[in-house]
Amino acid sequence: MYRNYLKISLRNIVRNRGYTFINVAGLAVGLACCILIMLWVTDEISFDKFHKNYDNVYRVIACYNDTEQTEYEWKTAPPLASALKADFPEVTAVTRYRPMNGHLFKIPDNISHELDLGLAEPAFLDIFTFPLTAGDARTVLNEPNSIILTEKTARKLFGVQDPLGKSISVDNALDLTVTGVMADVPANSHLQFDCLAPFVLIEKFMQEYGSVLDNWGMGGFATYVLLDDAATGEDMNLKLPGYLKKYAETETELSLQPLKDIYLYSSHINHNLFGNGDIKYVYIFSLIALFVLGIACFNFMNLTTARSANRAREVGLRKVVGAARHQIIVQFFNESLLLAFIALVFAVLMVEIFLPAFNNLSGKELTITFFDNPGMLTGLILIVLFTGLLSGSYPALFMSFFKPVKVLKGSFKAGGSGAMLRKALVVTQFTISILLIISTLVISNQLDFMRHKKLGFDKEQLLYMKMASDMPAQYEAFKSELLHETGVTSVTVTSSLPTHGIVFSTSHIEWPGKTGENKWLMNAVSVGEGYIETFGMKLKEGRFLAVGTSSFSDSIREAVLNETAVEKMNLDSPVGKTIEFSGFKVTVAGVVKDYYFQSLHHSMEPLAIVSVPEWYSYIFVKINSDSMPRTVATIEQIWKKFSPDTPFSGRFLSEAYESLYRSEQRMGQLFNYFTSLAIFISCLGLFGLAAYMAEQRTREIGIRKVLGASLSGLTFMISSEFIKWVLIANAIAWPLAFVVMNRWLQSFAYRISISWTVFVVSGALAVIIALLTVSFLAFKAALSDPVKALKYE
Amino acid sequence: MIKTVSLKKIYTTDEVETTALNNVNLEIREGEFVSIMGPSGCGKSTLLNLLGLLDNPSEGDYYFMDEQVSQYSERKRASVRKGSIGFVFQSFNLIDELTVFENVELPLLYLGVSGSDRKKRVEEVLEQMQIMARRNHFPQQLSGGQQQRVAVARAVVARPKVILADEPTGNLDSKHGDEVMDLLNQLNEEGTTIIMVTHSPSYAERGQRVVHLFDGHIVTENIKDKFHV
Ligand SMILES: Nc1ncnc2c1ncn2[C@@H]1O[C@H](COP(=O)(O)OP(=O)(O)OP(=O)(O)O)[C@@H](O)[C@H]1O
Ligand SMILES: [Mg+2]
Repeated sequence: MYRNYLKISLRNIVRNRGYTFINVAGLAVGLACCILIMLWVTDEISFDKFHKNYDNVYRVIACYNDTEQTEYEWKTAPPLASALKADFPEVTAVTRYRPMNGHLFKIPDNISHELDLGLAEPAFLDIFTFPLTAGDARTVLNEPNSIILTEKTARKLFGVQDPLGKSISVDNALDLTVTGVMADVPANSHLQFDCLAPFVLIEKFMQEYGSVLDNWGMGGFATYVLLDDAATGEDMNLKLPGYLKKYAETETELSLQPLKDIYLYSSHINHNLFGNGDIKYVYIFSLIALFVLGIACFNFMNLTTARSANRAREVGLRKVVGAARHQIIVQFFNESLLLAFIALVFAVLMVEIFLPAFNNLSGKELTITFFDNPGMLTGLILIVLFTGLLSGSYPALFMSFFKPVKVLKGSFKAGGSGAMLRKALVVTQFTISILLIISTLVISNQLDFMRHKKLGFDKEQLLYMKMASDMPAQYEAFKSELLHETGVTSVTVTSSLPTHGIVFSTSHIEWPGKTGENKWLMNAVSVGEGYIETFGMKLKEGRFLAVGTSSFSDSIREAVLNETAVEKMNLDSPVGKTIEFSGFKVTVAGVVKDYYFQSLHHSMEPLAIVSVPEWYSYIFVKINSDSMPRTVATIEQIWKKFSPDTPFSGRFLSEAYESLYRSEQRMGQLFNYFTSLAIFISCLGLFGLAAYMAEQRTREIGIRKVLGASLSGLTFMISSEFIKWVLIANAIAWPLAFVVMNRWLQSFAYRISISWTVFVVSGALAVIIALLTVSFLAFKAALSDPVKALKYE
Repeated sequence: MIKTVSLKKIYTTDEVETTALNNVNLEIREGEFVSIMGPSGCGKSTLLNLLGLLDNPSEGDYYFMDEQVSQYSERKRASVRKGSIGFVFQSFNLIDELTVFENVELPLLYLGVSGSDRKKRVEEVLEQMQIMARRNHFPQQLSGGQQQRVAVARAVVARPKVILADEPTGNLDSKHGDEVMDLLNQLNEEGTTIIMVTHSPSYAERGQRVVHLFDGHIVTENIKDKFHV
C-alpha cells in the first residue's frame, strides 16, 4: 500500500514539476532560515550553561535610585565581597572580578601583544568552571604575581614552549609568572578574557587611588557569589534592602542577578563592559523564524489545496474501488511529509552553504553538527513533521471528505471553502511580509538617524590611539613632534572615548544652593590641552581649563561643566562658583554646550570636564590632509620612535562609531535578509497560485477572447484579484507594524518618529512585487490561443 | 440479491428541491443482466449510485444481499462496497498517474490481498480483457476502448458479485462499444450480476431485462428470456 502511495506521490511530483519546485523551494528556504535562526537562538540561550554551578551563581547588581529613574550597575565596591560572605551563611564563596582590557603583554625578545586580562580571586576558579590544563587550581591565583593563560594565549606568547614558570611583563611595569594554563574560554561565556591574574594586583594598577581593596567609596568591581543548594537568590534578595547602610552612608541598594540571566537580561545595566546579548532579539528572531516558516507552510497548503481539485477524481475513484477515509488521509499526509523531507534535505544543503556568510553577519562561530547533536536533530525532524502535517492537513482532511458521487459527476469545483481559505492564507502571508518590510525600513531609518545625529563635536578625521605605558612621560614631546607635521592640526589627550562609557562618575557632589539629597551621578572626563580645538565643541560661557601637569590632588582645581550639569544643579551664572566633587573643591571655569560624550543609547547626562593627567588613556589627533593614509603612516612612524615596543593602534573615531552600533546594524542586516527571504517565499507562493488560477481560467479566458476581450483588459482582470488581497493585507499590517515598531524604538534614548511614508512605501512595494509576479502570468494566459484553450477543456 | 422498497432520493440545493427518484421498487436476482434506460435527467445515475452504495436514499429501504443497508454510514458502505461491487463509468475512469497494471491492482490493494496473489489475479484479468501487452502504459497512452477495457478489468478483478456500469459505451464508437458489451456479456455468463445504464436500445437488448425510468419512476419492466438475445 505504501509503495502505491509513494509511487503516486513521486509521479505527481514529477508530473507537476513547476508546482513541486515552487513548493519545495519555498519550504526549503523557509526551513533553512528556520535552522539558521534556531542555531543562533540556541547559541544565545546556551551562554554560561557550561558552569557546573550554573544555577547557584549570582552577580551583585547595584541600584541607584535616581529621581527620574533607577540606574543599575554591575560595578560594586571592593569590600562588598567579603562582607557578604561574613554576613550571609548561605553565601558559600565569593569572588571579585575586574576586566582590564587592552593591556600590553610582553615576554623577553618578542613583540608585545594587546590582551584582555581578568583580575580574580582564587575562589573564582571554584565558582566558575574554567578547567586548568596545567597548574593546581587551588594555588594558581594565590601568589600575588602569578598569571594563568588560556591555551590560545599561551600559544600566542610562547608558541610550543612550556609557559609554566616563565615571566611576562605587563605594560612594561609589572612582572608576572605563569602558574597555570587553562582551557580557552568558551565563546558562549559572558566572561571573556585572555588571561587571569590575582585580584590584589588591582592595587598596582590603581596606585594613584591609594588603598583600593577596603574602600567602600570605590566602584568598578564585579562581585559574584555562590549560594549553597538550599538557598535561592530570590530569598537572599529579600534580605538585601538597606544592607549597604551597615557599611556606608548610601541610598544604593543591592540585588542578586542569577548567572543564567546575565547574558540575555542585562540591557538595563549601565556601562556593560561585557559583550551582551539581548532577550529582545532572541524573541524577535524566533518570531521571524516562525513567520518565515509559516509563510512557507502557507504556500505549501495553498498550492496543495489549489491542486486538490485535480486530485479529486483520483480520490473519488479510490473511494469507489474501496479506499477508506483514513487511507486517503494517510496518503495525503504521506505525500506532504515526503515533500517536506525533500525540502529538509535541500534546506540542510543551503544551511551548509550559507552558514559561513551567516556567521559573518551575526558575528558568531556557529557550526551544524546534526548527528552529534540529538537535540538539534529531533528539533529539525519535529519541525519537518509539523510542517508536513500542517501543510498536509487541509488537503488530507478536506479531500478525504469528498463524496465520490459528486466528484465522479465532475460537479466538484475548485472554488468553495478551499478558495476562501486560500485567500485568507495569501492575505496572512502578505500581512507578514508587509510587516517585515515596514520593520526593516524603520530599523534602517533609526540606524541612519543615529549615525548622522549631531554629536555636538566633529568626529570626522579624528585619529585616536591608546596610550602606551611609556607614553605619559613622553607625551609632550610626542605631541610637539606630531604638530610639526603638515597634515596634523591639533592633538589632545583624554581619559575616555566618546563611544565608550565614562570612567568616572560620582554621586558625591556639593554646590552652592543645594537643597536635599542629589540622587543623580556626575560624570567626569579628564582631558589635556587642545581638547576643545581637536573635538570642536562649543563653549557657552567662561573659558576652558587652564591645563596643568601637576599631580592628582592638585590638578582638580577647575572644571568645565556641560549645560545639563548646570541645569541639574540649578546654578545661575555658574562661572566662578565653587563646587565640591568627590571630595575635591573645584571652581567652575566655563560651561560647554551639551555634546554626546557617550553612546546614543544614553540620554544626555551631567558632565564635568577636569584635567587629571593620571587618567589620560587616549591620544587624539585631528587630521586635515589631502592624503589621509600618508599622514596616518607618518603618525605611526613617529609613534614607533617614541614607543618601539608597543604596536601602533591608531584608529579613526568614525570607525569606532560604526562598530558602536554594530549590534543594531547586525540585527538590522539580518533582519533585511530574512525579510527579503520572507518576501521571496511569499512571491513564490503567489506565483504558484497565480499560475494555477490562470490555468484554471484558460477556458474562461478563451471564451472571453472569442467574445472580444482585449489583452490589457484580461491582464487587468486576472491581476486585480490578487492586488485586492495585497491591499487588504496592507490594511491589517499597518496598525500592527506601527505598534510593534514603536515599542522597539522605546529602547533608544534618541529615536525617530515613524513617518507615514514608510507605510506607503512598504505598501506600494508589496503591491508592485505582487503585480510583477502575477501580471506576467496573467499576460501569458491572456496571450494564449483561445481555440486551443477551448478544445482542451 | 438486490431489493429496493419505495426508494426515494431528494437533492436539496440552494432552495431548489429535486426529486431524482420516487417510489422505486426493484428486485434483481443473482446472475441477472439488467439494463436501465430513460431520458436524460430521469434519475438513472442516481439509482445506480444508490444501488452501488455510493450514496444513501432519502427514504425507502434497500436490501443488498438480504442486508438492510439504506442508512449505513459512509464507512460501513465502503466496507460493503469493496470486494462486492465493481463500477464502470462513462468517463473519469482511470487514475492518470497509475499504469494499467496499477489501476487494476488498486481494489486488491485496498482489500489487503498479498503481493503475489495480486500479480496473479491482475495478470489473469488483463489477459482476459486482452490488454496484457499494455500493462505498463499510462491511461493517456491508450485509446478510449482500451481505457474502458481496463476499467472493466478493474471492476472485475476483485471478483465482485455485482458490476454497475453507467453508460460504459457512451464515449466509444460502435466497434469499441461492441467490444465492451461482449466483455460484459461474457462476465454475466460466468455468473456476475450486471446492472447497466445505457441510451442505446440495441445494447440494452443484450440484458435479460430492461427497466425504463421516467421522471424518477419505473415505467415498464421488460422481462425477456435470456436465451432469446
Ligand atoms: N448532486 C445533485 N444535486 C442536485 N441535483 C442533482 C444531483 N445529482 C442529480 N441531480 C438531479 O437529479 C436528477 C437526476 O439526475 P441523474 O444524474 O440521475 O440523471 P440521469 O438519468 O443519469 O441523466 P443522464 O442520462 O443525463 O446522465 C436530475 O434532475 C439532476 O438535475
Ligand atoms: Mg447519468
